[in-house]
Amino acid sequence: MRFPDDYMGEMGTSKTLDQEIELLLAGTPIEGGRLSDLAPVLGVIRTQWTPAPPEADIAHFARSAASAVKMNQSPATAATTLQRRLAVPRLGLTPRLATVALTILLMSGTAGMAMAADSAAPGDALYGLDRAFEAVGIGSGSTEERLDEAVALAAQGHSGEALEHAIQGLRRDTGDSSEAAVTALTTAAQSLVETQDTADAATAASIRVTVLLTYVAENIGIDEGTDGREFGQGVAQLARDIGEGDDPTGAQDPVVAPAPGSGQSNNPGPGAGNEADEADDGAVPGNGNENSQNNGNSQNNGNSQNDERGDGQGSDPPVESPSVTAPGRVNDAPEDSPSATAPGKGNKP
Amino acid sequence: MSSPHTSIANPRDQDFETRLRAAKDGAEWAWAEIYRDLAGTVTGYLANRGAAEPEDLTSETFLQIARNISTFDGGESAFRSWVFVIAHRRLIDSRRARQRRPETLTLSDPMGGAVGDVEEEALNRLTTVELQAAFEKLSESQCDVLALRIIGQLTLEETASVLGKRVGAVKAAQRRGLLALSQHLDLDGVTR
Repeated sequence: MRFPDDYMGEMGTSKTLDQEIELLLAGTPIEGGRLSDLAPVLGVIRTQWTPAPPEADIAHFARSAASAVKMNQSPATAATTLQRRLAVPRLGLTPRLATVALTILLMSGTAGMAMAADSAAPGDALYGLDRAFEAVGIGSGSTEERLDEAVALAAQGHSGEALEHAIQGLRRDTGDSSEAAVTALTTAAQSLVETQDTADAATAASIRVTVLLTYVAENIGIDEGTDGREFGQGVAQLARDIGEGDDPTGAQDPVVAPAPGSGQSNNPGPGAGNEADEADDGAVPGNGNENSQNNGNSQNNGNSQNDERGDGQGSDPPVESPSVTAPGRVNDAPEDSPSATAPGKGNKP
Repeated sequence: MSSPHTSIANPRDQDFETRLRAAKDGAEWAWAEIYRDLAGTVTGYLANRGAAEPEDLTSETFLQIARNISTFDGGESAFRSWVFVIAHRRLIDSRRARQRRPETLTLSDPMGGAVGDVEEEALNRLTTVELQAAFEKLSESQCDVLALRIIGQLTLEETASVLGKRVGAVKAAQRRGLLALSQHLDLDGVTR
């Protein structure tokens, strides 16, 4: 009695139907249209599936959001500026300064959220986050325990929270390896924000975050000499990989990063081992890489937040272009060559 | 042809601008209005698209919005799109985390259906069951489009923006989807 799917082959007919649909969806269906008996059904769907949120939830969320915004405010502005600068190959500011600003941003965000989420109850606006933190027993334990918790969080898919949790733990330590790790994890967090535009990229990034955190958890505390430098380079490399958005299975193998103590140090920078140098180690090979976080992921994987603001209308938003994401490039990702990432993929300004 | 309900008048734009600025300044009232406006549709969209815990995902979505609000710049329409882009991404993340393809609809408890009298509720329930069956016959992209348009109450352009499709593709998907829905539903038996 109805029409088969391909009935709409003719342009004129589709156009009429499109107009009817717009009226139907606007709540003013035309009488006797082809879809007019759907009108009450749409009404039911809307009524049933869009409940007004309880006033208590609204108030709760408003408080949490307002305080989160206030806590983020000043560092956020700084970080946005810094992110823009970092996207340019020639760094306008030292990596260390950028790291400090970004870390402050991340920390304040986490602390605020954790506090706000702490008192959330099921059904509350913050309950989901609350449970994410609870699941790992936030707020207690040594740095090592924190890192293990972060790995667990990452494995559950909470990549952003995992990185923040790890950074928070590491910031309490003073060793060079901790500082190198904080630098790398901050880079990772930044890349993460920019790579989650497609499901595949998000999955790839999530796996890479888990790999990175596992590496940090297993090797943290190696502060001295060659091994310390290798740790700094390894962790920086793994962090940069997150921005690459391709084959996560390659990165899954921890040997991608040289294991400290394996004796394969091939880049002993003078004076490596203090914080500034570790930060440089992260940044120098990344001259192309920092950039590639923005444009290395084919299509529009980079920088979604920026893409969306301003236009938001029909231009290239990010979500779901499965055919252009990771799988196609799986085979040409060199698994065992940590230094080979940038040139091939980051060159599409 | 313009429809009366989809165009946005200027005063509203100004309202939104004021609200957005206040939200960026951390004003509670602005966040309350944003949440009141959009949380219901976001939760509904997530639930309709098979989120296991739509309320949790809604919380995460709005927290992310609060965290990233300083990076947003644009009008109300762009804002709605942005919110649904984040919700959509969260949804996909959570599906991945569960490592299996979701059912199109999990209608175990659609939001408690807080509507009127018993009779009407019975009607709603019946329709819901039928809807589930009908929706399950649609393609993923038809479901995405219809959920954003019907439940999310987004415009054609906003929907296209959220899904990364062209407007023409959204039109085609909603045509096919709605025709199929109407075909699969025995509407005579359900709605008077």
